[in-house]
Amino acid sequence: MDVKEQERPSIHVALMPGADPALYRWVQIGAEEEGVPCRLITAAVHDLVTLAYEAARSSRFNIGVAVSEETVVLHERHMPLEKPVMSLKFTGRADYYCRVMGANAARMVVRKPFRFADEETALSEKPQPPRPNTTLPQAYAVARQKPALANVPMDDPEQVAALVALIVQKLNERGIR
Amino acid sequence: MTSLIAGIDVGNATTEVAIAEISDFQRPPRFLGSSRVPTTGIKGTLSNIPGMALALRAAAEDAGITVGDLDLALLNEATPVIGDIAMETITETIITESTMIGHNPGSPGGMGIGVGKTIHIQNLVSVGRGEPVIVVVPKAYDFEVAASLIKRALEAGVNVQGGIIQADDGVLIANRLPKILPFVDEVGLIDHVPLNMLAAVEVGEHGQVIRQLCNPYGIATLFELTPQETQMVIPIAKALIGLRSAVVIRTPAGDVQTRRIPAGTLKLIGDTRTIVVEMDGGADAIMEGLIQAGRLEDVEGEPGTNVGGMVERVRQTMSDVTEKPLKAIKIRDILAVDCLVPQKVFGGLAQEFSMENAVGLAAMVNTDQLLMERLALALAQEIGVRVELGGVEANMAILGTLTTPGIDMPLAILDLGAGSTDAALMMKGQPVQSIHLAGAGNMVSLLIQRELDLPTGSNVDVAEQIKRFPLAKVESLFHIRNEDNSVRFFKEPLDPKLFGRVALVTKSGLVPIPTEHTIERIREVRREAKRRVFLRNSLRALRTIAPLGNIRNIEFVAIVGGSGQDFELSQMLMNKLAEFGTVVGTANIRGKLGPVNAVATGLVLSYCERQRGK
Repeated sequence: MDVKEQERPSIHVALMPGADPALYRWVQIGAEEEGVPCRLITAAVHDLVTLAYEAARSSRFNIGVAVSEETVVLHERHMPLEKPVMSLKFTGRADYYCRVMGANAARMVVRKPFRFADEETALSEKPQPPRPNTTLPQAYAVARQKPALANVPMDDPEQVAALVALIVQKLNERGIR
Repeated sequence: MTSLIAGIDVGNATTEVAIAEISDFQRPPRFLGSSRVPTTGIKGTLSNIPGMALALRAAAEDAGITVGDLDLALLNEATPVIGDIAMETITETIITESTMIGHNPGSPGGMGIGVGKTIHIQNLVSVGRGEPVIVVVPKAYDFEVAASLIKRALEAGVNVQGGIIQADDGVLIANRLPKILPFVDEVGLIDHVPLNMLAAVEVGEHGQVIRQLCNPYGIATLFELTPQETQMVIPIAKALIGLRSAVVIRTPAGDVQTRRIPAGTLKLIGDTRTIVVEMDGGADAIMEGLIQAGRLEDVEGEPGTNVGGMVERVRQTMSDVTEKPLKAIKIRDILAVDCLVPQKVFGGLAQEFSMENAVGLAAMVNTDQLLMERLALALAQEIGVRVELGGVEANMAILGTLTTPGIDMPLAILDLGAGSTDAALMMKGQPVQSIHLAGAGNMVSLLIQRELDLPTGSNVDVAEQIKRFPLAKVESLFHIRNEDNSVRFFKEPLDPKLFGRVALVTKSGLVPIPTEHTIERIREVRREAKRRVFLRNSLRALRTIAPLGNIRNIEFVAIVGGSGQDFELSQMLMNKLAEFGTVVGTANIRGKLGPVNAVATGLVLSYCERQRGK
């Protein structure tokens, strides 16, 4: 408790044995984007979710992140132990997922809506120049975006899947199915 | 002999049915069941039949009978009005040369104002000492690389004033520099940023908006503009108002203009006078003209202008629906509402929006009885039950409303529907006075949709939902704050997808709204839309039917219709009409149905009355 009293509030991040130590930096960068400090802690726990929970318990923000070789987990002190706020499995670049999770941990503090990894992957890997002068109604704008996506070379099936998922999600958001 | 009678009311949005058993015309009918389903197709057309059949089935089930058991179905005589709505902007901002980037990225970096020549980050090394520059950083540069390049340039004496960044790295770059500089990020079309041009970058302080670049004289000061040139930058300044970060680039050929689309004039042909109103004058001028014109006989828009197109569109829709020639369609009422809608700036670099003036118009045309007769015939064939046309809608609504406990004549009703706002007044020994006005619930939804720039063309209409349900902000995974600032806690954690979002509190739980607007803004737009449509129309309607045109002469007003169920509207009306000493309350048809089903119930009652008279 004493340690906790003295320390300035921060998001606590813990690494599982085997996780790349560089990933902590990406979590930190994600949190920095939102202007919230991070701290690396250690805890003698061997389960990823429990580790995230322990990190959250020791944080004065009540928010913790734990990183393993293949997953990053966000936890909050008041959540049931077995139910983390969010868990992302690395399906591509681990640094990217850690950055998103860092941003989300910070967003919990500043109370902004979360970023969800699936929506970003396609965007970040294939930067789409936004089309200027879309004065058409939005429904048209959606229709126009689709051919644009189809123009990008797609050799990687994973990328195609990511794009399709993105389009489906956008359509769902707009309620068009 | 007992008979089973159904009253059917087809409205713009819902079809309502009341089923009653009549054993003796001297005694009031015994109501067995009622139903309310969405109207299929546009009111008054044959496509209403499936909805009517469905409503009848639902009501029959409610009553414990089958549709075939019915002896008679009553349809209101003539749906007197059909409404349509349209909206058109009257100004538009166009940038013919790329001269401004003004946008609201979630997190721009640093703060302050910087002025200098735009330069690509790769050319930073070749810049002379002391020369003021604005760095342009494409996505290919990692934030650490970019930060170290800028830092080295600063150390070498280059006067870096700020930066324009393509990726979402503004904060990260700004944090890694020895001094605080403004960085605007998430600029999509970074290749279109002209290089070696004088530019100004501004990032507002935390929690504040930019001050200098949204002020024409501020831009003039930074770029040393002449008074003539200052006039040219007014549209830029206007488009940047209220943003947290902005960039203005001065290109020699730069030319930004607010093009005023010729909004045109509206010709209001009334029985007393014909008035021509300029659309530029806004909604108030139009409504003022409407009063002067007297009872409206038709409306024409100036051909070749936005309003001309708008009026013709309404006429065309109505002509299609009623199958009458275009010329025979007469617009009998309009409601104009001013609004500010976000419009994408034509030619901007980062999908800038600018708030443009727009006018929304709701129009209403009269339909003829032929349509309803055709509908009655088709319905009779569909359900195999005799169908008769009942009475005038307003009278029916009053009869139905009189079933509310504690209500008596003289009585005025306000029927707040989806397509029209109707009012009727019944005094002892006098014929019922009634009026139908354009603009109701659908207009409110349109205003909300346009002012908040919500996605359109979806199955679940977000604007419609916002109109109907109160808002809440999800503050943690365990609690929400309602729009009245009260807090509600949950035992089970909420879905992380809801976290930090503004959500609607519906019966089936919280529904997140897919927009970035704050809860205060959404609430304000929602309430303002209701005020501008329903309050304005209610006063207009009551003034028309009130004895001597004075609302003070109406003592009691009962609210009926689907929009009467609105969670805040009746309170808003009550507050407003209290000024006139008028008592307003929401009707409770048959003591249990609330404000709906008034016309359907009235149809059955009026049938009884007519039979009794025989």
